[in-house]
Amino acid sequence: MTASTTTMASPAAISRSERAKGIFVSFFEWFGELGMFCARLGRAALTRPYEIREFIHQCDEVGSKSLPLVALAGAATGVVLSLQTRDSLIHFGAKSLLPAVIFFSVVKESGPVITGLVVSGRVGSGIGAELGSMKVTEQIDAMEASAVEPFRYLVATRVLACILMLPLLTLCADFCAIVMGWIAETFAEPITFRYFLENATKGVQFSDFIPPTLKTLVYGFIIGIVACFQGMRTTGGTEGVGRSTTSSVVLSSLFVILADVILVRLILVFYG
Amino acid sequence: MEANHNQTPVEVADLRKSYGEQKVLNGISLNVAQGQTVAVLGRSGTGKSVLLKLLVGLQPADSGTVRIDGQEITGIEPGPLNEIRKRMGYLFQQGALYDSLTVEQNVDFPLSRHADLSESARKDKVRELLSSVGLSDGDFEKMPSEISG
Repeated sequence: MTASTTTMASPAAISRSERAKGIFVSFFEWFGELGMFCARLGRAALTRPYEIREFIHQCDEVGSKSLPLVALAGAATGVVLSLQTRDSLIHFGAKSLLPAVIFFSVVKESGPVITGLVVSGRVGSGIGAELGSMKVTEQIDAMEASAVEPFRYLVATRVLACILMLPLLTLCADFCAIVMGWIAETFAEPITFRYFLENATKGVQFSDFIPPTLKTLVYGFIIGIVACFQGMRTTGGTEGVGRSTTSSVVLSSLFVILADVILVRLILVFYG
Repeated sequence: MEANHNQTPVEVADLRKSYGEQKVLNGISLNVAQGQTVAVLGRSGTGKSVLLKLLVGLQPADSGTVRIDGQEITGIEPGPLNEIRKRMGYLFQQGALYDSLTVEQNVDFPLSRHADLSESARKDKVRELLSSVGLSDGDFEKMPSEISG
């Protein structure tokens, strides 16, 4: 009799491999479902009737109600940039470049990213929780049963409001950061705002300013779509709403950062 | 439900629905005639709510057909399906009122989208409907959580 050389995998190893396979499949399922969600959103957003009143309401929710938080975050960024950069620039004898450093740092990177992250925290959690609780209490089913398309009324309005509001909020964050950067600089060495701005914007072109601001359109789309998607697929009662809220914030923040890497590279390719 | 008198308003044939391994509806068939009242009885989890959701097109069936006024609704586009839904009423187990809208706005919500009425005519209609179920002027501006029942 010959001894069998076949070795059997242990139950623990099988369970680990099954679990890994499950995670792998659900990862691709998530993206597949997101793709179908985007397609359904596209159809809902482009066909009549348009929910103009709800869209304006959502612009107010996303835009004006996020404004104080975004302005504060922008202002803090400006102050920190001014305080941190000043010593380094003095060390290299390039103190006169401080206004330009603040301006470029804020406009090209800090302003858009800070705005994206603040909005993904405030708006992403709000949308995830609101749609999640509507889903588990069957309000979305009720909307469908009364022949109102929930994708048009709930999703399209929120995603479009996020897309429209993000660049505007970014401009506010940029403005607050630059003004507070100047104020922080003035405490160390008084200069007029006009002189600060002249130094900051010397040699600035539209290509330095427009693409970084417009990249927040993509951030807005990401925040809106991820939060709506997570909210609309909520299951499991109040615990499920909690999970949707958390995942809306975590995933939208993560995707904003990942999108930033790609968009910065694209901007450098086309405008660098 | 208003129906065409020449047809059976609700026809269900060999309807099947499963959630994963769990078979909820296993080839159910039924017809509801004009004016007929049908009660579906069964223990919890036997698919009564699922059947109703399939009848309104809130969930897709795995197989089988649902005809409303002779029109097949399984796999139908959202536009024509919504036209059918406008003629149907569906009461959810937990009410499913929009909790961010007032009682008056809740009733007005579908009317504002589907009824060809002026704002004042719509308001009169909504108030008439609310009064008919015993709600008074003071209740119209309340949120659903503030009224009982």
